[in-house]
Amino acid sequence: MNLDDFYKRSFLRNRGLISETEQEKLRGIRVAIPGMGGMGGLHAATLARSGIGKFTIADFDEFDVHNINRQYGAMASTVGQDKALVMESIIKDINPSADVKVINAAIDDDNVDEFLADVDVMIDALEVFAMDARRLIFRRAYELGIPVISVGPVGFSAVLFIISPDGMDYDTFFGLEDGMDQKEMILNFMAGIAGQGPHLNYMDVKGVDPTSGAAPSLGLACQIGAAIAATELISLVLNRRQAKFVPWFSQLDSYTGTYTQRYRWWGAKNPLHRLRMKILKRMIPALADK
Amino acid sequence: MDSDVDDFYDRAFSRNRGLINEHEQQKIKNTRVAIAGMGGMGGMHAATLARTGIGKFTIADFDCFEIHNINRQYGATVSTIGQDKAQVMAAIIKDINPSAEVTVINAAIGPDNMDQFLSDADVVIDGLDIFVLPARRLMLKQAKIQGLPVFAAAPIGFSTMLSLYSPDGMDFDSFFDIDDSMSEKEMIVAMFACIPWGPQFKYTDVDMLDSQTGGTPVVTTATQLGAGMIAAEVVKYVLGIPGMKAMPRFMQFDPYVRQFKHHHNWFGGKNPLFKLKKRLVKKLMPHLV
Repeated sequence: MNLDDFYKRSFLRNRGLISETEQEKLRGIRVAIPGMGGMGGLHAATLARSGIGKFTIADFDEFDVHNINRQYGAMASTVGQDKALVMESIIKDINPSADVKVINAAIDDDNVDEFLADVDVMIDALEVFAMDARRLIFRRAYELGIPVISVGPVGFSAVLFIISPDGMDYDTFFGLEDGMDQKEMILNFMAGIAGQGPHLNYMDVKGVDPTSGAAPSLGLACQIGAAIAATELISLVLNRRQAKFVPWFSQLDSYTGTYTQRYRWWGAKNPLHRLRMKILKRMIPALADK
Repeated sequence: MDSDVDDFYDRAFSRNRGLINEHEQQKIKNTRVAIAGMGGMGGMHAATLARTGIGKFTIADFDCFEIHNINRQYGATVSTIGQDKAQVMAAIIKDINPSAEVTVINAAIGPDNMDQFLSDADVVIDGLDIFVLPARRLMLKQAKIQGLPVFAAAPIGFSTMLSLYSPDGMDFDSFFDIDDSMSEKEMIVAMFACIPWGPQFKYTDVDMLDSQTGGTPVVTTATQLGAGMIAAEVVKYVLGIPGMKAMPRFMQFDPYVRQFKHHHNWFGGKNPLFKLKKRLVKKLMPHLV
């Protein structure tokens, strides 16, 4: 059987929801995913199973035992192996005709253009704490006209925000500026994603340490997030329905069984949100003592 | 050796801390989940729960992986085509958690093996194909007698419909108003009538239901969403935290139309509304009848 035939048969059961022409379109789409950890690995696997045909993936890291609770590629048999290479072989095992470009390094000024070359959509999957890389990638994607879909696993929930080249940019939504203190940037980013919502009822935010990077993280939340992100990506590239870009954002919380969509006027400049950031800064001891 | 495996478990699930404490993690480790079917939903449930740290599984499937499973089934890849679904998933669970105890039933569940399937189980998950009715009815009946909750997520379009049959809630037969005297096709009509005709009909091509592909259209985003949400319910159930309401209440989340609904089918299938809908199903989807 040739690869075209194999592809057609693999994704046959999408029919009824995704038409044959739409499926071919998905096959021609290139998605860039920086980071093959908790969110990134799941994004890659979910999109591969949806029939996305081209990937550019990047990660500098190797799988460790403590990744197993949430990362798609992390298993007893892959501990110690390169995350990006493991995920490449997983994508190819799902779709042998997939075109996978692997960058086995962290994204920086030198390789960001290579990373975003020919990309139709980017899905953000960097660690919360990789602020410099994230700002760089979001800025470059915005300049190049590439939409970015981002999901944060927060407690038992997934928070979704999509940045469109025609809408509000990343720095305005999260309130980030050049020359800002690293801790403050992380706080602003975290407040932007998780400053409000039902997870505050059951999650202890005081334990979050912006310097160590060890925020609690559940596999099930990552998985819900990857499914929502893929639904958005499919609708976006197939032009199926109007997407809601930032300052719209939404949260599905599986712990409380709630779904909320919010619109944050003026992004991080929103007065209510600024108050929220102030309170959060006081609540997190690691940020308070300067 | 034992302590090595325990140590591996503790490290593998250490990042759950902050949301699931050490004591709770042990409870999760000691829970046995019985999952019927290792296809689209079942395989996804197994992998998600293994990554949550569930320590004991009983899994059942009679089938082998085929190419057209690849669009959504966790264990289906080029390298596993032709292999037993249950065996492949057992290996995946063990690769995620080497200390997991996995009982594999390499057969369809039915009267002969139902006791084996449910023995020692704390939670049951229904991952059977939507049209597999006799096995599902038997499993639900038996689970109710044994006082076990049965969770299920049905992928409907881009959405997932989550249900829970609890020992003290409404049972499957009453929810759909079906009984032994009915033919299987009549039961399927009843099922289509009692699920919400919600957002999915805006974008689903209903002519594709049960057509040449041998089943309903199904995408991986929906199965994955359902497995993630059911895993949250299982965690809450095991830890004694109030969770979703049992049938005749259920929920549906559709990320495509951005809608999360909590439903309550008063009186189940006996509700006159569903009697009316049953007649409509027969008219609108003649290929089902």
